[in-house]
Amino acid sequence: MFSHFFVFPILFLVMISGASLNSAEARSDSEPCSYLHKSWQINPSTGICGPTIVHKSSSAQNYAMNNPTNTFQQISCGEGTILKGNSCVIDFRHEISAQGQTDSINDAFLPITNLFNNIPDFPKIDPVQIGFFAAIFIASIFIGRQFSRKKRISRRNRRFIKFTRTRNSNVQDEPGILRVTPEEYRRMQEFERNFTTVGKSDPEYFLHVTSGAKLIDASRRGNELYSIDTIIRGISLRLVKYRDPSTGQLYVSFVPSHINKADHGMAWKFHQTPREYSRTKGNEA
Amino acid sequence: MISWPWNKPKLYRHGDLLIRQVDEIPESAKQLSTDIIAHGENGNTHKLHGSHQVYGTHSSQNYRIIEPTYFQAKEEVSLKHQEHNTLKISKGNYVIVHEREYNPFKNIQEEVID
Repeated sequence: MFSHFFVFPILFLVMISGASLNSAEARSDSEPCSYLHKSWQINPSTGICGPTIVHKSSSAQNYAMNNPTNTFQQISCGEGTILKGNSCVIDFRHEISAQGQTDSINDAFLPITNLFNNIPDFPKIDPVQIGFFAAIFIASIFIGRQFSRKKRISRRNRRFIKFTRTRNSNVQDEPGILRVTPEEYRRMQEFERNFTTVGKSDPEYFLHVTSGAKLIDASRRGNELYSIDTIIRGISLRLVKYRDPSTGQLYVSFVPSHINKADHGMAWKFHQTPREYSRTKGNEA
Repeated sequence: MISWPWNKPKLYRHGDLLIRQVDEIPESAKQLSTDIIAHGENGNTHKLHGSHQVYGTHSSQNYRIIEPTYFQAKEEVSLKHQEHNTLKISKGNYVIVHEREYNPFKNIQEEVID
């Protein structure tokens, strides 16, 4: 266990010693000071490896005659390079002359067409392979999204809603039984309490303020049908508001959720058909 | 068969009651010696005035109780209630239908009693 604590310091020491050996490396006299520019020499006055100033040669004189920008004193830029202006550039003259383009030899020190000749070709990719990998990539994204947290939650909610609707539809066929969540049960209790207190005494206030009912239909006989969808999920509570023909007092009463017309609701209340209810007009007290 | 308007049964609404004209009263109905065809929660009653005969049938909730279900108006009668206007009912046989309401929380229908 403790041996691990010694391994790292030892390795660290070995690396430090190697670096110190590299920094202490020296060249012999026969070696050039720069392998990149083998013609460079160490300036004895400065001790820096750099290009040496040489007197013009015959080749340099010819080059200078062809290129008036050059001076007689040439700087040896190194093997394979020449001085162009104030900078060293690669000498392509021998290649151009070999290709028979000696006319423009002065202006073609750096032919752009030759710059990328030696660049290795990029590996050619088959478009089918690109399509295959793209399809895999897209499929992986699609599969990942299908199993993402958001998707899983939405699927679970859909299942729950479907189950709830099925459950409610079954319960509707079974009189006297209604299975609700605790939250719905709490809302039901509050709603029933408000209905028995406020709804009986002040139906208008109950409908428009307490319950937040939504008006569905209003008939010429003064009946109104309201809907409340916020108490039990999946169940629309329908209330019909009507006025007593004798006293004029307002009443609200629940009717089945399949009723969509106010007069139909009143007909249901008195075991009538809508047509029969229309005939009771004038015979009410 | 054409149902002419003058042949259609008459319908009256008196508070929480619907009075519907019928062709005849069933033989199973029993005669009751009363003028009251319905009772309310506060002691109010729907009471007939005039020449009439009330008939009753067994209650659906309690078989022992016979409650008024039909009446025969031998002439034009008046139906009175403490809280409602008086309703004139012409001669004929009638069935008494009680108003109902729906209880969405119990999913049942209940009879309204005023």
